[in-house]
Amino acid sequence: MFHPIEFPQTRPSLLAAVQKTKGHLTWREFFDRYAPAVYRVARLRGVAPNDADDIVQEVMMSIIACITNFHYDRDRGRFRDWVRRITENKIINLRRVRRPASMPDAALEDYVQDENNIEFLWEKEWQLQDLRYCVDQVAAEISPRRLQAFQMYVLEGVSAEETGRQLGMKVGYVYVTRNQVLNLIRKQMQKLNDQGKVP
Amino acid sequence: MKQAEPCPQAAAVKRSVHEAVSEDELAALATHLEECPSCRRFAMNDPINESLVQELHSLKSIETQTPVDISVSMERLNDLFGDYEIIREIGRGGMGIVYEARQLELDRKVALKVLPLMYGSARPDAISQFRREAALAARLKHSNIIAIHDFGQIEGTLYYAMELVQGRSLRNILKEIENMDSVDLILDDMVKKSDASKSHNPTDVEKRLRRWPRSGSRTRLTRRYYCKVAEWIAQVAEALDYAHRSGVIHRDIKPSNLLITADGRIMIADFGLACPADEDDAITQSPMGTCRYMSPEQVDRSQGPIDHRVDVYALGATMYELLAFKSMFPVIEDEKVLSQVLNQDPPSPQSIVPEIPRELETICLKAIAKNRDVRYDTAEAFADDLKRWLLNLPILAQRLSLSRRIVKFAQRRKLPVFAGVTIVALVIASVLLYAGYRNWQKKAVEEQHESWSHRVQQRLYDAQSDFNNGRLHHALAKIDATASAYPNEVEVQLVRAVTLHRLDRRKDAIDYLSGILVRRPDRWPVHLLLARIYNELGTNTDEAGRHTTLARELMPQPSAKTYYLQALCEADAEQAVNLLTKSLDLDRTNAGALLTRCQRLFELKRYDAMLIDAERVVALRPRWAVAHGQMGRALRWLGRGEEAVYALNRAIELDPQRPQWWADRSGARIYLRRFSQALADANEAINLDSRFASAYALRGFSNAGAGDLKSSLQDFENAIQLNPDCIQAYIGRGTILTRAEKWQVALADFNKADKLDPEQLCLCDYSRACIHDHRGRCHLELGNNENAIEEFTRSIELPSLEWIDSHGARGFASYRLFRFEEAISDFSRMLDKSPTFEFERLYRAMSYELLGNYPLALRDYEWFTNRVRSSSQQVSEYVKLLKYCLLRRMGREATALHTFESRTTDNWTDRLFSFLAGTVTHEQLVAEAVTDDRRADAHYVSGMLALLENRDPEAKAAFSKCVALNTNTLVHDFARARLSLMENLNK
Repeated sequence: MFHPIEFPQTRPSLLAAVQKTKGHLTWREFFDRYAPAVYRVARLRGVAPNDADDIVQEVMMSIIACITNFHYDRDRGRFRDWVRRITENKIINLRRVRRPASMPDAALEDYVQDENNIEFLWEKEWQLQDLRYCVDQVAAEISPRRLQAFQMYVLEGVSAEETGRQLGMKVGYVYVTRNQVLNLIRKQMQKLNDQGKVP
Repeated sequence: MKQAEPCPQAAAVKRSVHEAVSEDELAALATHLEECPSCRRFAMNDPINESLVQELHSLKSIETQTPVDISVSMERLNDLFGDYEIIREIGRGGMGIVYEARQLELDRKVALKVLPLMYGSARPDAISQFRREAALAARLKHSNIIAIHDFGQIEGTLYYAMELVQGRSLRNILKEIENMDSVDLILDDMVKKSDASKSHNPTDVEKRLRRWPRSGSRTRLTRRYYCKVAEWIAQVAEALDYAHRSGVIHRDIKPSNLLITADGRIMIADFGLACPADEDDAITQSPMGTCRYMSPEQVDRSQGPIDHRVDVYALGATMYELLAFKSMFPVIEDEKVLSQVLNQDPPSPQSIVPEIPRELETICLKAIAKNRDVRYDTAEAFADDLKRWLLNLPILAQRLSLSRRIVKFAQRRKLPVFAGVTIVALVIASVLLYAGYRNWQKKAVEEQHESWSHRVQQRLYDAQSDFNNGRLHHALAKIDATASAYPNEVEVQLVRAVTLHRLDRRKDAIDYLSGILVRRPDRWPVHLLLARIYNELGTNTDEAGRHTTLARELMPQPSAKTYYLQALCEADAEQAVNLLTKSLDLDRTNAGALLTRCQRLFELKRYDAMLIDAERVVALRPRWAVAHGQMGRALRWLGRGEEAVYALNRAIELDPQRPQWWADRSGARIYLRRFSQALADANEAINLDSRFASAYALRGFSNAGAGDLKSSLQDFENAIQLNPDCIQAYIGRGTILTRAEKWQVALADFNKADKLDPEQLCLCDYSRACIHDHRGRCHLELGNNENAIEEFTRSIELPSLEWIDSHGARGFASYRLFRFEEAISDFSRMLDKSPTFEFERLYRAMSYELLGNYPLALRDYEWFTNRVRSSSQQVSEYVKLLKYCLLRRMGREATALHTFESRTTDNWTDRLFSFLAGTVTHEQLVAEAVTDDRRADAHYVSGMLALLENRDPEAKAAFSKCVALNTNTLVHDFARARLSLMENLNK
């Protein structure tokens, strides 16, 4: 059974691709995959939007600069921990030069300073990251009509009847679509998970 | 509540929750779910699916922010950017956006290139590298390089402002050629047309269009085009060469970076501003195709650091496109291009366009060789070959067959002013024909008569300086490269053979020289060198004699040239210097002869004369890095470290890619004891050549100087591993081992170093002094005092420096052999220079005392009490003790009492004093002495007391006990000396 904590770690195949080609497309994919997480964690850690942009760029550049020397090795800790460490360092560096005026509020600051919370923050980010990836994969696979049904009924909270009416679809079909798409997403997750475990 | 009837479809519904089902089944299920509320409830409330839905909701809610756009920093630009007012956007690429802008302060129009923020923020040192390179590039002043006015960072955005050039890029021109199928039109229009946006009138085009390459007279027409291409590429290559000499590599030469101005000049844009090394290909969101111009070593960084030859390659790739009208690797995907760059040879341009002149193709293919060692060594060589082609001279890129040579010759004979037989005359004659060509050609020809041989010489002396740095195989490779580029230069041939000879490859040297004689039996210097090698081998005296005779017969009237060539063949440095002096008397401007004399004078350790020669070479050839390098070396051995660093700075500036300048500067800085700077230099040298043994040795010395003995030892080990003949590394390792007091192994290292330099040629006096001094110390510690004295004497007697430490050490050895007068003389030499050395002073005092010269001994003891900065308390208490004994022996009891009272109470020496004063008994003292060192002290003072009271036998017994303890203490040495003195007196 799928358990949310067992999320895939960095897919070795992607990392290998980045290392091998250093090319445009894979790099783009890599960026799309990791940049949002870095951005959001930075924001959650109280970094102002413009600075968070800079942090994303710096982190991505550091990764690219190092990646040729980085051999993916599961024993050496997760790649994501590495990304996390780089990001945390950049945030700390930024704090040194910026007064914490950009902090959203004191409570959040306390929250984000807690090491356990930081851990949780990142874990959550990576989960969402993978989820987003899987959703995107599935979205590309299924018919636009089904995708729209799923979006309205499941994500936007439109009732099944209304969804069916708007899309000219039987209500029962909306129900079935929900489970089928969820299954596809889960399957995709499983696939990602398995890939992550390739030695 | 009544349980609902189990629905017949329940199983299918249940399965559909977690598994994929077929389309047919789905339709049935959909209908069923509409009708059956219980199944619907079951299907819609599954906890696993529900948790996934929750996840999706949080994903949606958190993703209010869209992913960040990398180009955001560029979009933030206002109309006003610092001092610049943005007028319009000119272009946009992976490396940033180019604007036409007005610099308000100076009211001039500039091209302003703004780099994406990400570019600079990769690493802090990327910014500093950008600044360094931009600063260097901003200093480039060349008519074919777009000048950079200003660079910097505004609100975190890197930018630079450059000369605004109206023109079209080669990329545009190539596109136009492609579209119009005619190169003529482009050529005709080149001057008139300056704006790419200007379009042609189609009818006009039709009228003037000579379809190409279908035109009947295409050879003549295309020849014009090819001349243009050769001219452009040569201009760019010359400009690149200038930049390379100034320490800037472009790294991003491509058609879109080469602009043709309104007046027909070709300009290089974006100089020195391509991405810093290591990162360019990764960061630049490179528009497809940029990697087409990337050399294999840029793609595969495992080949070591890139150098100026990436520009040669990229320019070659650009030339390829101008010839073939196709890029070398016309696939779309970057990945494929990259793999082709590494693994695939492009189709020959002639196979695409058969009209391409063969030589031009040869030149192009040489420039784009995958192995950079096969490419033109410098951009200048590339330009030269193109110019040769333009002048109908044989190109060097390829050995021409005889028939082609004749064709070339015939072509030249058609020239109207063909007059002489020398190449110089030919060049001048042919330039008349092309007089109206271009300015640069004139300039080129003016330089031509000298540039050939000078370039050869420069390369040879670069190679030789490699050789002198122990980079033997580098040197040979470089000479080989020169030899393949200039196979008929007799200088190159001689140096190559001499190098083979010095590498102990005599057979190869003989084969090589004999091979030359097959083609050119009249080359007398080759005979001369062969004779010398045969003579040294001693196996084939007939051959030696035959070649000697031939050389003598063939040698022309003595001239500067003959003396010079003779000198190149000469083994004996003194002889060579004489010959070179004769040559230079006849021709003062032969930089090659001067440099050779420099090197031979270095062997002879005549650094003063060497410096004068090096200075003359610098005056003659201010842009030869090797000249500055030699000057630095001479200054270093003359002990003028600061000036040496200055000269080497210049050498590095001119030729930053050559590790030995860095190594030499490291050496000069070690000499100046600036170890951290020396370390940085050595690191750079190693960076440039990871197998440079001497650089490791220098890093070892730097580390040792900075106190990091562990790294130091590792460096020396590496150096020895890389080059088992690296003398300096043995010296270094030996020195470290002596610090660890491992005398025996240290001695072995120094012996090895000494053995490697039997004729004492390779090492400077400083290093030799170091060997002898350390070897002496090892002997001293191992108790071989005679050997020690011998070594120290050799160190002291080296002419060009006074190794003062050896005097002190020899003093100890003499003292231990009871040769007190000699010891005093050595200690005095040492103390004159370094008066603060305490042990030397103590031993000198004792030597005086033992010789009965009490006043001088007392003076030395008093030095300790009078000095401003007091020594350690232990030492000063011991000195008081010794002084007290001496004063009592001199009968100056009152002063002795004063000394006694000045003692510090409550410590060990206090007890010794008390014993001498009679308040503590011998038994008490011995009982209190808990260590051997203290027991030795106790015996020594009881010996002294006995001596003072004229109880000689008891004194002898006490001193014997002290000596028998065999401690490594002052009193042990003193007791031994007293004992021997007393025994001698008895005799």
